[in-house]
Amino acid sequence: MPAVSATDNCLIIAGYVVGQCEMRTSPAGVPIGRFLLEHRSSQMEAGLAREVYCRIPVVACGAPVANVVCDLVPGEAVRVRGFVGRANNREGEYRLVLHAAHIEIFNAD
Amino acid sequence: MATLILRIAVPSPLDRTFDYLPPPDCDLSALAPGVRVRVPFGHRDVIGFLVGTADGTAVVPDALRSAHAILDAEPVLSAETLNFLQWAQRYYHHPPGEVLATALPTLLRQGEPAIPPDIPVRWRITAAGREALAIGTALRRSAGQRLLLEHLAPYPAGLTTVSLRTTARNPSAILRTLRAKGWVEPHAAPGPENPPNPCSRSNLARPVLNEAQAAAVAAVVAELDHFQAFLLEGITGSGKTEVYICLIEAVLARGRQALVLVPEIGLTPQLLSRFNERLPGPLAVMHSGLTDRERLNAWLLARDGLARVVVGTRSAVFAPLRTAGLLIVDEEHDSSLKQQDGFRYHGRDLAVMRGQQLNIPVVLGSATPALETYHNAQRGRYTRLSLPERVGGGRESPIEVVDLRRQRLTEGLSQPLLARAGEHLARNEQVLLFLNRRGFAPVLFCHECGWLSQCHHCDARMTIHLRQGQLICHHCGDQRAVERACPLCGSVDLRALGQGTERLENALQTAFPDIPITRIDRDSTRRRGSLEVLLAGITAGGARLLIGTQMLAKGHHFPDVTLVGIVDADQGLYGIDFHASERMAQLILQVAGRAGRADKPGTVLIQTHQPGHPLLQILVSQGYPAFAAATLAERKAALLPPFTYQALLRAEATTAEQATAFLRAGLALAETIADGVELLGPAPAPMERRAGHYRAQLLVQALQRQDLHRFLDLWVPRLRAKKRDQRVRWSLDVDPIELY
Repeated sequence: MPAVSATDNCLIIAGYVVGQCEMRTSPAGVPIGRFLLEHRSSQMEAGLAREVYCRIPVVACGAPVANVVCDLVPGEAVRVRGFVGRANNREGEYRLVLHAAHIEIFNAD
Repeated sequence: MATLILRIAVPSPLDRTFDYLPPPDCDLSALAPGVRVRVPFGHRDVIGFLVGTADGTAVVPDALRSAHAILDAEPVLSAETLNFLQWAQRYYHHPPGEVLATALPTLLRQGEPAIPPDIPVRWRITAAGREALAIGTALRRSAGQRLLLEHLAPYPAGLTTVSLRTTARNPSAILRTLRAKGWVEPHAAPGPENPPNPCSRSNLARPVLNEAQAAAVAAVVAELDHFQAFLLEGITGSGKTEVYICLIEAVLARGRQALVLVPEIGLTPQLLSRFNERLPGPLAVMHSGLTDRERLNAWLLARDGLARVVVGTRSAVFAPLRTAGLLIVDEEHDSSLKQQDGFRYHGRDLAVMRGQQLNIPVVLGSATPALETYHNAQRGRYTRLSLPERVGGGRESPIEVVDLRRQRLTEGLSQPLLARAGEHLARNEQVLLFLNRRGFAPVLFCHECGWLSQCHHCDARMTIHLRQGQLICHHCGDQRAVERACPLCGSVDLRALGQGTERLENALQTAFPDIPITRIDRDSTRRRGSLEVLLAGITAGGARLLIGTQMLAKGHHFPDVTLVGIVDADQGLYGIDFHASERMAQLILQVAGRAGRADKPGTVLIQTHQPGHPLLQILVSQGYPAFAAATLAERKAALLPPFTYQALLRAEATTAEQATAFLRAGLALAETIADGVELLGPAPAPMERRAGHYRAQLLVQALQRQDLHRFLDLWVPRLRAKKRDQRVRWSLDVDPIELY
């Protein structure tokens, strides 16, 4: 099996901010922002058009991305690029979380 | 003719004395036990103590060496002190040289002559200093300097650096600054040490004793001419200090000296300044915060009888007294009275013994007596005197329990506590929150993988200190920067778990943004003089939040505090050590005693997840005497001290195996002689690894004290004689107050 590289885990997803963003700073001073992203779009699957809908938690660690999260308001449209990882290491839980490397605010209208 | 042989106790870990020939040209008739002798010891010269002489020796003549010199004409250890120390040495099974050395100030141990100090330099305020004080703006930013100047102002003849210690922990540094500004000047003062001054003691109104205080004073005064131990059990604010002062005055009136042991002098400047105000000086003050020279001077003042009152921490129990008349141990339950390394003596227990040898009364004072003392009072060995009322008729503050279960907590603070704090602050009163954990939080952990900030050298987690950005181990002192990312999984989502005083401060700043906050713990008082500045801020009055560890719990008088919150009472309820609940109760009541001391009634709130805990219930609803009775009943049923007598053999080594092997060998040595004693272990210490060493222990327990000591007398020499693994360090602790 060929080696898996960092670029093999990349997700770009756009949608709306659901609810309030949560901001904190780790004891070492790293700012951490979290919010829930709701995505809706039309996609083609097996040659047919269909609607998709999902929600995924986004975590933004470090000043560049966390500062963006800090200013987000509920309902705002964002496009997030980053990698996905397990939300925690608890046995049997496989929820995913998107670790943002870049967040772009765009006008959805 | 047989030559005279000197028996010398040399400060060394060897449990014996050494024989020497007298130095050449020595006047043998002038030799008295207790003088210091400079002797060759191995390849170096050391200072030992003459404990006796003999006509012969078992040492082969060729190996017998001559002492270099006798250092004293008059013994530095009087016959009384020597006798007392030798008793202590036998009781605690500690090498004689080290025990004798403990009793002396460092400079005497190093061979400094024991001659009285010159008249100390006194400092007085200059005209420019008075001006600066009057204007005030010049001193706005330096509370320490202002305090010192204010203190000096009423003394035209000036004060010595030592007596200024009641105002500032390091007066010398502040005096230097003030002198550079021309605000104070030194002068060599003739005349008496503490000259009377316009607003001094003579003019201070003597508080009138209440009935209980007067009865206590009368009871002790009636027995001043012989030994009797008293337990002075007075609730916080009941005026124990006033009783001490009256007793000391009675003793001084008989031309004798009084010795007062206090737990931590640096923390109780108020007690010292009251003594200074009320008692004729000079006061000999002895504690570890003094310079070596100051300690020697205090020692000489006491020995020569110039200081009629000696105040000091535990080691002052060995102070030389020319005409001892009374021993007082304040806060006798306090664990700082017990020395925890080297010569592990208990200052209170030794004070009782010394009182017995001197045939003078000993007064043990506390609001929350140690259970050992309580037990002795119950069985009539100590006379119990109680002060059940607060001076001025105030009541003890009621204690309420806040059940934390299912409560929404803000950084460890419940809504009821925050709401009540708000009410008291709104009335311009002060609120004290007690949390016996310094730092920001006791644990750093990874939210993603569960990693914990383990210390590399101890079985403990490192505490987060956010201001310094460091993780610090409170057991070995090791520190490192707070990790940016989890060392295990790389996540930056690290979180602080639990509360420390720093975190509490942050939370309260958010909850009460307009209220000034004073945090008192070891971190906030590290700089000399900073404690005094913080305390001055509190005494200035006005709404204020006080946050503190046990440093804040002891002896301070905060007249404006009307609400005390104990943030986490659960720490002490389920400790592995059987002393834990006693400590918790004492601490809770000591802290509670800070509330409502003046004319304002106080309230105490205890936050706990265990509101139904039987001991906590008894403590809150029935008070300390009921708590003590219940705990003593438990101890009796479980055959624990004070119903049994213990000694703890501790061993530590770089592997657990080495430490345990030593203890197993110790157990084997005990087999044939363990009569009336029980040996438990070896077992690992409650926290097995500390600072890279594995620690284990062997507990010796007996129903009769004589049995324990008869056994130790036989066992300890065998332990010392045994050829053992040099990598193991061991110690024996008689009457241990904690299991490691």
